[in-house]
Amino acid sequence: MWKDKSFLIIFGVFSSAVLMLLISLVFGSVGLGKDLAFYFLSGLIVSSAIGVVTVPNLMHAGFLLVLTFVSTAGIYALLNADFLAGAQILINGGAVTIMMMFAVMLTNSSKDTDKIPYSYEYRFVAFVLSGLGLFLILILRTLGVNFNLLGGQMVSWAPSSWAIKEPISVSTTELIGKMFFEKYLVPFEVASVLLLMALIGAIVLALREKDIKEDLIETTEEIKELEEKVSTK
Amino acid sequence: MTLTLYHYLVLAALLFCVGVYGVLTSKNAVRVLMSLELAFAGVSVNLVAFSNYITPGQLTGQMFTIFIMTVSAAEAGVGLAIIFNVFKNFQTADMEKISTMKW
Repeated sequence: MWKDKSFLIIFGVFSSAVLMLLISLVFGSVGLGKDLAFYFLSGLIVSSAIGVVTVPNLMHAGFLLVLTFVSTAGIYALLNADFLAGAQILINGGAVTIMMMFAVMLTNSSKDTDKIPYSYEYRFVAFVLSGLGLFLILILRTLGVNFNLLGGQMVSWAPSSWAIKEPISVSTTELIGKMFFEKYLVPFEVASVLLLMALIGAIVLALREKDIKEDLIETTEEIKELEEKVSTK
Repeated sequence: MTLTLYHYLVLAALLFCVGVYGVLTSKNAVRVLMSLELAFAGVSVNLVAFSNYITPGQLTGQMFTIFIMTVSAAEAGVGLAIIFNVFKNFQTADMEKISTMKW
């Protein structure tokens, strides 16, 4: 059990979440409630995201993706987005991941692919580019480090009031419903047309030619039977 | 420490970077779509955090996130249908083997 890579990664997910919880309790004056929930949820999110990308078995990756989405719904609840938290669990955690796991099962992906991943050099370069490079660029730019190497001061581009403002509690479901019909009406209608297009497109793409031929044969036979009935009457 | 906006921005950046790493190093085509969903989740956390801390009355970030969820579900569906077709032709979803080029 301890040599199985998937088990190790999933065990690492939960233990890192618990570790984040303990670290946040030990270091500093963390108030109970929101801060604790944030550290626990962010530990869960990051470790299960790393698990999705790393685990060799794709069914495990699908389940870890569900865990990521449910924890992200918790983050939305922390950010006063209650309707969005419910919608995230329903849509992303319920429908999208099930679709992905159908694809995994129908393309026989849980068996052979990704057991032999890309080479270590390629993955290391990808990690340096995305995990270190992109991440450092994003973090340093948001937290306000001046990139002028000839010596500039540390200037934060964000006004200092951003960090201090305490978010207020508003019930968002009613507000979202109102906004869909007042301010965001056109994107709402366009999104429904988009969903219709995606539905029709996916059906046309995934339809087998055997099904079309069988349907044609069935309908021509029915037409012949009806003609015989009409002619004999 | 009390939670500031920057905590959420760091979390969103981490999620996005893990998604980008997954897109770059996934040999299976379905895993690429899964890590793309991770990147979408990171962007959504960023948008909702900004919407909560900067303009709490108008829920601009949350409306944007609802549309992101819609569009990502639609494109995941169409992408998976394309992967079905590829699997029908090549009998594998491994991106190294889906190639009829010479080199």
